[in-house]
Amino acid sequence: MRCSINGKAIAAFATFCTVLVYLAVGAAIFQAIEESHENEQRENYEQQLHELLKGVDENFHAELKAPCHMVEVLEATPNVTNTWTFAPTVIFCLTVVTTIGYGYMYPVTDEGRGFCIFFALIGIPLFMACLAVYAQHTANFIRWVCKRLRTILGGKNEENETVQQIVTVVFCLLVILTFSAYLSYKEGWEYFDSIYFTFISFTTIGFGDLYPTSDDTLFYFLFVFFIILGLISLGTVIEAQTTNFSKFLTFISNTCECMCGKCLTVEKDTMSEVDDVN
Amino acid sequence: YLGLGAVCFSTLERGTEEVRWEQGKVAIERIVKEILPDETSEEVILEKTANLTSVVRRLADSGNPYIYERRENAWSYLGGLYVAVSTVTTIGYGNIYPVTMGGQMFLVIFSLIGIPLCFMFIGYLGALLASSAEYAFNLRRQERSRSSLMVTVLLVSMGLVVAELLIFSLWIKYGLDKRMSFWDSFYFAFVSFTTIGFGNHGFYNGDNGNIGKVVFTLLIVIVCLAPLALYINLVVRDVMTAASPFLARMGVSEPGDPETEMIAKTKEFQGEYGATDQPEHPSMSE
Repeated sequence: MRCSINGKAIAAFATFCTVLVYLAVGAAIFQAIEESHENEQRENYEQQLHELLKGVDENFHAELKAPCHMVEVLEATPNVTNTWTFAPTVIFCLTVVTTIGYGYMYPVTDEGRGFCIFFALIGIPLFMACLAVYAQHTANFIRWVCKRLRTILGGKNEENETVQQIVTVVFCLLVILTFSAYLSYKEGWEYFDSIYFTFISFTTIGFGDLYPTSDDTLFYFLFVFFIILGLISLGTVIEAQTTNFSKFLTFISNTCECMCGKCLTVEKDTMSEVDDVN
Repeated sequence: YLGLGAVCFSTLERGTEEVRWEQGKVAIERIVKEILPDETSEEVILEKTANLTSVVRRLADSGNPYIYERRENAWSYLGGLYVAVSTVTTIGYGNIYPVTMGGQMFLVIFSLIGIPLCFMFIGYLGALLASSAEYAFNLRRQERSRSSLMVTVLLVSMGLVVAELLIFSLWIKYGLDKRMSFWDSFYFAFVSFTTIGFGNHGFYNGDNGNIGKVVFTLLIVIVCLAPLALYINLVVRDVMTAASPFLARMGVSEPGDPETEMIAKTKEFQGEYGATDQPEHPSMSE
């Protein structure tokens, strides 16, 4: 038992360090890419402000160059034109329960927020349980596809895990590309923007810089359907990656064990727990 | 569930946009009075307020993301770190995000590797917490039945979640932003740790006065995901365990394939928390 906890503690610490390094490097790259564009945007903003204020007052223009006034004002005003009618609110609930959380729509009343917490505490596990069931169906479908591939291409007759992973990735790509095409058509976005939006949604990151505004029933149904399908497929891909990383970590720690001779082994039961938590 | 939730949210939130525009107009009017302290004519003030309001509305519609959170330079290194964490944890705050095509493409690649990496860490941390809880309770009483062990670990994880929410809220309010009420901080903590991350309020806006505090908060956020992930996972497992015979009967899995993989996995899970190196206690009546 003691060994098992030590192993987990070391694994947790090691992965934490890896994550930190990864973040540090990523941050530098993000900064390098985005900083110059931001300067450009700030100039655009000040120009826009200048243009818009021309009709108002000289004094305004001078004072409002200081952004802090605008912050206060803009923070107080909503940036969304959707009202809380039934269908958009369903989409909002979806963003809560999937943990995507776009943020173009969010509760502002205290009661609304309190209810949101309550809604999430029940809804998130509920949704994840449902996803688990759907994921099984999808996994069965993918296995079936692999079987058909094998009979068509005539290869070995056992289940090959790599083939399954590849088919899963292809399936995921198809879902992303199809949904993006539909979004481009329906929302009028550039195809790359749609793909980016789809990716950000399916990973549940959900920045909210882009969000759907179409308002017909078919669209709502398709949106919910594709979000669920996408969460499952991309979720499976990411989960497979997580397992691969864990296996890699086991390999590394086993190698280290030879060198250090201590109990550094990440045991098999740890990995299944890791999968469980994820 | 979504439909029911929609009805509730709808009822609670309908009409709030107009309320917020009213609040916005109050703020605008105050600014107008500040700028023109000598203006006494109500009419003029109202007119200027209306003009400025329409300016604000047009700015809001213009879609320039820069205007929403005032920052001198959001894309300092700290900004990059903030986005990196926000991405890898899948919280996705949305008050700062890449807008160039290069930045977005990099983000896609960055997440495809970073998210599993982060999940791996969260997984290990969660497993560590669960094992530690189990070990601690094993020490006290050798004769725990499996189900009560499961319940214990669930309760421990719930306790951890509540504790971290409270502590983090206190940190946000007293460490970072005194203007926030405790309730706002609590709500923000909750929205972050579940990785929902609405983004109407991030905790970094480009103000580089508090670098140490922001970095510290980022690290805390990553670590705090583990107890909540553990809690959610345990609840899901309990639901699945309870429902598995029912689901199997519904024909959820094809007969013959890693069958009710759920049942197999659940047994594995039960085995994990079942104190495998101790003899089975004959009476499970506990």
